[in-house]
Amino acid sequence: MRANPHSNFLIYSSSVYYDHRPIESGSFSDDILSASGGISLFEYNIDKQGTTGFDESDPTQRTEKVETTGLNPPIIPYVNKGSNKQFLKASPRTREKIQTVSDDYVLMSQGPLTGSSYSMSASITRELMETAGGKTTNTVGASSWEVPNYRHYYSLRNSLDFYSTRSPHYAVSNPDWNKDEQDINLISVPKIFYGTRIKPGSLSLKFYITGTLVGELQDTKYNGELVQVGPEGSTGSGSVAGVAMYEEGFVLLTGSWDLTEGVAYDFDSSTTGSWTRFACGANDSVNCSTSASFDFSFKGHTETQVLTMFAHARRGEVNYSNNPTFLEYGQRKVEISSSNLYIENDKQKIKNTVSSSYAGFDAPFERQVYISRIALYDDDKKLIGIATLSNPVLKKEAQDLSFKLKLDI
Amino acid sequence: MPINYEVINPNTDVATTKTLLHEVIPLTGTIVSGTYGTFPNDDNVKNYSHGMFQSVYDYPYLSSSANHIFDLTVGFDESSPLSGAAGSVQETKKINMYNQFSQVLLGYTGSANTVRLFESDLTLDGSDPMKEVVFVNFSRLLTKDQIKKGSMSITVGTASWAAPFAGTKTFTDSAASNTGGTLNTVGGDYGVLSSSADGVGGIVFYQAGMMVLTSSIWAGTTDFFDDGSTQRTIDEQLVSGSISGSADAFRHRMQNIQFNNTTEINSTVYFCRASHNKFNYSNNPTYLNESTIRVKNGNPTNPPISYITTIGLYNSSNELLAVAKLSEPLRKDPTNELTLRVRLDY
Repeated sequence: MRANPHSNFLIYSSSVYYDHRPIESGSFSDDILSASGGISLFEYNIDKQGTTGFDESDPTQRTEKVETTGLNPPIIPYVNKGSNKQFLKASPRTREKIQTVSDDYVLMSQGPLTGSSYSMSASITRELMETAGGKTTNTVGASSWEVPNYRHYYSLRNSLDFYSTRSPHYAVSNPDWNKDEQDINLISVPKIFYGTRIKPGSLSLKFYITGTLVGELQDTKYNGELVQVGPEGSTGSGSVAGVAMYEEGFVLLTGSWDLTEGVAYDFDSSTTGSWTRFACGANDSVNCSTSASFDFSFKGHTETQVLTMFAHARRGEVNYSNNPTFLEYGQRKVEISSSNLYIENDKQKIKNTVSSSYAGFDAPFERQVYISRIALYDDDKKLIGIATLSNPVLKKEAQDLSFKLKLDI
Repeated sequence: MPINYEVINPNTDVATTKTLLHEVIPLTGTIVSGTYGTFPNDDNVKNYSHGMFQSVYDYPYLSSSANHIFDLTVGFDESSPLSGAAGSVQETKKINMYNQFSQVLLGYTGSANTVRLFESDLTLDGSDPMKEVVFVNFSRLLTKDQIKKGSMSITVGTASWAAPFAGTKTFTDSAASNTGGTLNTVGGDYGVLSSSADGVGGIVFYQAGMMVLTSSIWAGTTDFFDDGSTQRTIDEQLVSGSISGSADAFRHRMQNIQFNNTTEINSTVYFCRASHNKFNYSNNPTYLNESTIRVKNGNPTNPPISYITTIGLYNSSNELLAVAKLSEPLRKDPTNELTLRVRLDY
């Protein structure tokens, strides 16, 4: 099953709003989900205040002695470190000249526990990379080496060149530009929002000043080029302001023309409203003019494997129920029970559930059941799944019924 | 498409493990009374027209963000002195509630198949029954697979209605652990909630996520319930009060509940071994430059080097089933051997 989930992000005054949902404040927190402008994993810790932790008197030998503060302390996860090398998501790593991995969990001795925290959340992130290919020289003693200023850009360079067959605007360098020397506005979209890839042709980036649309980008050619399509006659209209990496979930904007027609607004390091300032304030620790707002929307592409099964209730079958109320009330279940004999009463009557259209008249008996659930068993007769009907379905003895079961994987 | 496949030996290269993940669940009295709305009509507490139990949420339940955290109800056995008392309210429902939980959690006993009673010990021998109880039924969202044995703690106020926490009692299941201190019944394992100062306060069913508190916790409290005009002991409240009114009174006196939950994660670990003379080559198009291996820098005598980024798991028909990605590429050359653990959780 293919689906194209739609996502919309509105960025205003350093806040992100996902799908036009307001940021809800509670009794203890200004943002009850702690996931401003995005999705909170589990949506577990709602409106929390305070801390939950463990007795830290000896960090190498933490015990399960829990310490909490505040009126509504959060739920936290933890594991006991055993010898099986299972662990929570890796802790922050430190990288030096030669890559080394410092994992707190790995360094821990066996036995004590290690904790983590909720909320884990996802939202779009904007990163302005001024002179994206810039490097800094680090020197220690006699040796020196260069370190990229923007690792994210360097990790995308190969992919950008790879997609240059899709559009020349992906190319890192050509006679007209060199992305290494450009300011690049990188917008990262977590995979949870789009699935397999962003749907080509669905991207829309709108730049507003004081509520008026001053520029809109769309990938009208379905090839990743973000073309300024409006408003009509606007500066840069028809120009390509950046590219989208559909599979990776990135948008790189390089359009530097002035969309604000010379009027100065505060865009942190610039007063010119260009596409490189788009989404200013989107989880980038930057405060921008409250006159500017941005709208970023797209569709995703998800594929879900669906297993369809047909369960047949043929005529003459599935006409009996093990439900105790299927039999008339007040009958003996056991005919004879002694030290030598156990005989069930085989004359028990089935309750007549046939509805009569007339008052004071019982409709003639018919064998019928109401099917409310369908159970799935494996070859060993082990129950592996249950499908419950929204409403019980009447099955008469002479009827054939087929139920269609769908299992999303 | 790989050229060569490394066969996984199920006897030596596959292992199964089980990991226990835990969460600390702190539930304070703050959120169950008085924070959202005005007690007893809190916005995060839902009462039903059937009046048989009360649901408590962690946030006003009309918000889509709210999570259900537990249900509250009360009950007593029909052999209790409270049964048949004059002026009783919802007596049948209270007895039915007790019977339902005892049937599901404890089952039947004796030749007459009578329903067992909750007991304040681990014997189920009919002694020390708890006939008047408060039920706290935790949401599966919080208890997950089960409550961790030995982690349950509850503190309730036993002083006056006006200042219930001027006197408190704390009960824990500190005697329970994975190796003992519990009894297995039809409803799963249960342990006893007790304190050295105040004796037994109830029992907790770990897999069912259910706490049963005895009314004797508040035996000395003269105003367990007070609506401004009427004061009642807990026994009087269990007789003359509604189930939801008794649940309200319990919420008023709940100071803290804390436990840890457990989620079992089963894993299969595949050990993927790259011996010294294998996997030193790559099918990546950029690995070759003009038909020579790029990483040899033009010197054919240099050893080949590859960087492992991905491991594919194939079935016996060489169909790709799963892909494991490394967090960072690993250098592989003829001088080293690697064993990569691929863990599949389910």
